[in-house]
Amino acid sequence: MARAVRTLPALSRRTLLRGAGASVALPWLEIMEPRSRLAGALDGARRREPPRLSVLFVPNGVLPSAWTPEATGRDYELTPTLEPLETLRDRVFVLTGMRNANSREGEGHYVKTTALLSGAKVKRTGGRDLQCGTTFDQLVAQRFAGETPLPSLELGTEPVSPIVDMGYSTLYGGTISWRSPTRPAFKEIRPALAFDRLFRAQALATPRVRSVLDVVRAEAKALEGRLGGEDRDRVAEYFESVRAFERRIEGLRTGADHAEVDAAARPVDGIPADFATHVELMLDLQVLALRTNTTRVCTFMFGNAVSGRDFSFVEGVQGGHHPLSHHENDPAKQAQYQRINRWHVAQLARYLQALRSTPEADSNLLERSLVLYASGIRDGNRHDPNNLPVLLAGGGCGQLGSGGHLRLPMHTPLCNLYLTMLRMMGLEDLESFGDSTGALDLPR
Amino acid sequence: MSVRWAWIGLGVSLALADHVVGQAAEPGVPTLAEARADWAEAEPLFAAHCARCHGARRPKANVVLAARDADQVRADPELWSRALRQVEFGAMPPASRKVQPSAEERTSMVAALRGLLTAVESGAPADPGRPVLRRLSRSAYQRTVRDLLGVSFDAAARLPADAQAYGFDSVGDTLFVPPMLLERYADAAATIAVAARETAAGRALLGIEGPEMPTDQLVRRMLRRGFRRPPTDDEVASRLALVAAAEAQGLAPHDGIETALQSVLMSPHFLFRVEEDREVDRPWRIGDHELAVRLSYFLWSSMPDAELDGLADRGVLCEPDVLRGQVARMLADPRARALAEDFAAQWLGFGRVRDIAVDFRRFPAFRRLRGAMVEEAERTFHRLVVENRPVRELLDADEVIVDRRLAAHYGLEMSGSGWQVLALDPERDNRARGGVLGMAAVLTATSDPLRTNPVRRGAWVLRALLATDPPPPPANAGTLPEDDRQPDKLSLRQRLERHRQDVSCASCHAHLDPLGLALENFDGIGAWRDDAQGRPVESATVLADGTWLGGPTGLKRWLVEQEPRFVRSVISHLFTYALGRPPRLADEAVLHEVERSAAEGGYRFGDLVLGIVASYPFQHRRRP
Repeated sequence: MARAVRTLPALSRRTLLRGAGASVALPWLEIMEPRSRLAGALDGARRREPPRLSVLFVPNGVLPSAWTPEATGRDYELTPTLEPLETLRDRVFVLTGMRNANSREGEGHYVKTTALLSGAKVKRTGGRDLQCGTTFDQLVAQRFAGETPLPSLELGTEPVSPIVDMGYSTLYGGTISWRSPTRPAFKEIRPALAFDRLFRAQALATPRVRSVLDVVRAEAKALEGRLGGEDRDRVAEYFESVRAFERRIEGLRTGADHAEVDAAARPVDGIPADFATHVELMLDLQVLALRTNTTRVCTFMFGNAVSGRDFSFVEGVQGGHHPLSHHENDPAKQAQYQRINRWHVAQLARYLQALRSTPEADSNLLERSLVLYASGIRDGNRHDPNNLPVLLAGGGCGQLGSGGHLRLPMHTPLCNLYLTMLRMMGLEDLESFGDSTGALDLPR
Repeated sequence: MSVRWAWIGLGVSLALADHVVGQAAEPGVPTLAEARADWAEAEPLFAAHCARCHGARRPKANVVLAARDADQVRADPELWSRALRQVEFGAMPPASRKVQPSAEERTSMVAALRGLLTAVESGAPADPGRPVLRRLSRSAYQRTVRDLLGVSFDAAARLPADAQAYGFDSVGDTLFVPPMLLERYADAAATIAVAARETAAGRALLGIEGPEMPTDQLVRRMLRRGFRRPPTDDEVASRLALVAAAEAQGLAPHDGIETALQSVLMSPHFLFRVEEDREVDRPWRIGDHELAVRLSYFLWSSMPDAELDGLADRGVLCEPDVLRGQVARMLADPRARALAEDFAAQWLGFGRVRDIAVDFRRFPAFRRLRGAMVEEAERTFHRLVVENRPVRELLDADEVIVDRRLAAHYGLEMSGSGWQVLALDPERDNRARGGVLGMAAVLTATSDPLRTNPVRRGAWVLRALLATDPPPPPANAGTLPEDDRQPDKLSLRQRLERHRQDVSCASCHAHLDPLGLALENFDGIGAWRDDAQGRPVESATVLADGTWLGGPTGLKRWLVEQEPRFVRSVISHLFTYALGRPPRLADEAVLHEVERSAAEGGYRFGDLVLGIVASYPFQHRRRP
């Protein structure tokens, strides 16, 4: 497919999804026509279609006093940090009291980040034999692989930093999704390449590439048979990746995977210098991915574990995220830390609003999604994975009632929430996940 | 009880420096019988100082160290290596425990445990270690494409960054191939195959230029270069089928050849450095083609050139004289700059400076200096490589390589422009410069955005220069304020002193802090300062063993006295980089041999490289 790749200046993109009202048009989404990806799936069949799943991870915890509301139920008062969610409160559950018990030991950040979505124990290693646990988002992705062009989309903003820290590979701190206990799912941090990941396969679905894949798949298979041990696993992974790519190309050829996307929507190369723009772009791409049904599962890391990103661009903040998260109960630092927390929640609100503003069938994308927002630690000053800050948003295709503040029994396993979500996603027969003790009883 | 050498990123404890470094060490690795005898002698010390808390019943931190039997210890080398590190570093027993082993007892414990873990059964077969399949790292991919096709491909913009293991991004264990990367490779292969039409090397390989050649020969040559070994008939046949298919569709002849090139760039035999396994139980010497690949990716981060290919084809590369000659040739080649850009940048950490966050308001000069800082470090290291200079010069040199911007940053006088080797005048110039400790790139990489970070600098000295990995801090360790300008006017030094009063922190920080505080005369981007926060910088510190360091030059002098430990650090980092796995305790004898072989020349970089290349693990492979 010949596509003139034209790029827009980054600034003009910044405002694309801005404008929170439901009536505001989303120019760059309107130019896409998600034709056959959604065609034929309406009516009765649609209602049984599982919701989209989106996970937003925020590093370095939150300031507890400004996070947890006092009252419970529907009519609680939003705390300063949660205030940006005001117009969305009917679609957001604040879940208090959950913990990720297996990540209590280890160190302060990496373990609690990489095991957040699996509840697994993390092996301490500088790189060899990485081990965590398959995360619940990937379980969903694997269950529905083949139904969408991409099983899942992992996005972030920061590269895996080049150090081994505290005996842990920093890969742990830059990864929240694991395809298997030993294989991390890598995230994309460049907007343009994330866009390519969604739509470039269309340009690659040529007879030439298909014939090339035939050859190298056969070579990988032969090689796999000649190797042993870990070498064999590595080539097997390559082989599976070739197969996944072939399946995707096959879908493109038969028209099952086809979204008309204007090449002009491709963001410029590189990483935007301005962090806020970067985050907006990545979240816009998630909306685009979900809207075009290119995938049903997305994860996003606002930052890696221990991110020291300079947040001086937020009014009233002077300094980096991780240093300020160690507030040492100093009120001046706490105030700045809280403003950073609030900024993240505001990005969530903007994202949820964009989903809500995207009509789908007789409803909208937010109603047809489950959005999890969480950090791996409660208080950045303490590094404890107890009473974690967790928000669950969206309608889950009618499976989730209007929002509120739920105080669960203290130390409820976080995996109970995942089990609940997995069942909502269509894995009804699942009996347990991680250290779950049972599903949560969320208001419908 | 004999005191033996510290190796394998463990190093000798600073607390014991006066006992260990001062003594004439007996080189080598003990026999198993000797090690057992030493262990039997030292075991009561472990029972007294470790097993009280780490006994079989309710062990602290779930760590059980109640082993009386030497075989039990050898059966769990991972656990006991960790214990070794803690005891050796002085972090265990914790400072909160009243009964502490004496310095002599600690020395005995460390020596006995290390001996037991490193001793090799006499007559046991040599073991090259577990094989590691390594994918081309992002940097290696870019360089290989350049050397194969003359195409300059911006891999940093097109491929995701590789994760690191053991300090290097080229270690096989973390080189995954997720679906996302495979799509990226497919995209890259398509782009590169088109770009190859425009380069001389590409046109030659595609048969667009040069002597007329039958298609099968053309394909064979392409595969020979791309797979870095002679191709099999099947591999040739599958490419010929691609060419025939293109012809059958009525496409231009070069179209099929381009498809074949794309299939080379996508093949596991291109993307991985494949080594064949054999159906034998003993380790075997790898073939010459595999040796050429190990060599070229070690020294150039790229594929072998025509000369290496020719020697490997004739099967003579493994001959010691030939190999020696090739190592010398390769180190003098401009491509060996990869050792500076890939190896040294990661080992010494200065590569981080390329994308490190520094507060521009606090350090306005940094914007102009960022590129020059990295360039200085790379040029300095590259000179060491090309001129085969002693690695000691990294610790202390009487020259620096600077441009005008850096010279001004360092307060040095320089005339002319461009990059120059500037001799430091001992009368006039600051002797803290010259060597990695005075390098702005290193000093910036070990700082925070708004201030210096003495703890990180101290840990860096231990880890990078002295091959001693400090144990990690507990999860709830406090942090220093991110800005050194605080209302309470305490200096970082005063804050750290306060922190050290906490016994649970003291045992490690007593080792880390003095090393980092000695560098406090260098600010967060490596500029010299006599005052900070309105008062004189106190950089005179005392090591845990009582050694007095008079600031940066004193630290430098002390490090030069630690040259054996530094050399060991260079060797162990080189080993990890070259082999794609860190040395095991069982590799101790190998590392020792590398050191011995380079001693005569005063530990020149090329001699150390040669020692690694000549070593048993570099030239052998076993089944997984």
